[in-house]
Amino acid sequence: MSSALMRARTGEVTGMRRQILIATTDEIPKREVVEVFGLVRGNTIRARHLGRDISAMLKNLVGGEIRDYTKLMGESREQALDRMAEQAIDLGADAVVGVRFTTSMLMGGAAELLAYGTAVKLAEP
Amino acid sequence: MTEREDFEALMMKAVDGFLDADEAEALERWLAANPDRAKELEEMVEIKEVTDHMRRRLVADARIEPFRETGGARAMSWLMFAMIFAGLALLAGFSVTQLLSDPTVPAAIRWGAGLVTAGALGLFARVLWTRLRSLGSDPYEEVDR
Repeated sequence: MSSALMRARTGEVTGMRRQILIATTDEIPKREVVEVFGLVRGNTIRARHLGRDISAMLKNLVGGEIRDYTKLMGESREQALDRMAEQAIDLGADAVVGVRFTTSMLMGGAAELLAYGTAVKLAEP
Repeated sequence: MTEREDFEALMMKAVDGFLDADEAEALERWLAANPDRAKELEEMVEIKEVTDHMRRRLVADARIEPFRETGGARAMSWLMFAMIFAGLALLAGFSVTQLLSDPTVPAAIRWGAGLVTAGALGLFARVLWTRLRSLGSDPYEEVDR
C-alpha cells in the first residue's frame, strides 16, 4: 500500500486536517469557544469514467458492493472536507464544529458532496 | 512489585479500559503527582485509539478482500471495455460516414450531422486531453473508500 493511499485511507490527503479539529458536535469538551468565524464549507462534484458506470450498472444486476461508487464517494468526501478545513485555517480557526455533510442530485453517475460547519477558535486547554 | 510498577500496571489497564472505580481514583492521584507519566498515558491512549481504528477497518476489509478483482481480472475488464468502446466507435463512425456520403440525404442534414460530429469529437478530445494531463496529480484518486 502506498504511503499516499495509507494517508488517504486514514482520512488525510493534503495534510490540512492535521492542523485543525473537525467535529460533528457543537462543542468540544473541556475547550471553550472564544471566537466564532462563521460558516465554512467545501464542496465537490466528482465522476468516474463511463466504463466504471457500465461496470457499476452491471454489478447492480447481481448485487454486492459497488466499489467504484464507494471509491467515488470517498474521494468526494475527503476533498470536500479538505476544502472546508482549508477555508477554516485561512480564517485563523483551530476547529470546525457542527460539521455536516449534504448531497444533491445534479447529474447521474457523479458524487456531489458539500461539507459545512462553523469555524471557531478554542481557548487553550 | 514496587509502587511504580504497580501504577505502570494500572496504566496498562487504563489503556485497555479495564480499570475499576478504586483503581481509576488511585491512578488519577498518582498521575496528578507525576505529570510526565500523565502525558505518557495520554499518548498511549491516543495510539491505542488509532490502532483500534485501523484494526476495525482492516477486519472490515479482510472479509471482502479475497473477492476483489486481481490484476489479471482487471486487465480482462479493461479489454472488454475497450471492445465495447471500439465497437461503438465503429458503429457511430460507419453511420455518420454513410449519412454524409448518401446523395439522397438533403445537404442541410449532411452538413448538420457533420458539424455535430466534428464538434462532439473536438469537445471530447479537449476533455480527454485535460483529463490525461491531470492524471497522477489528483491526490483524491488515492482514496479507497
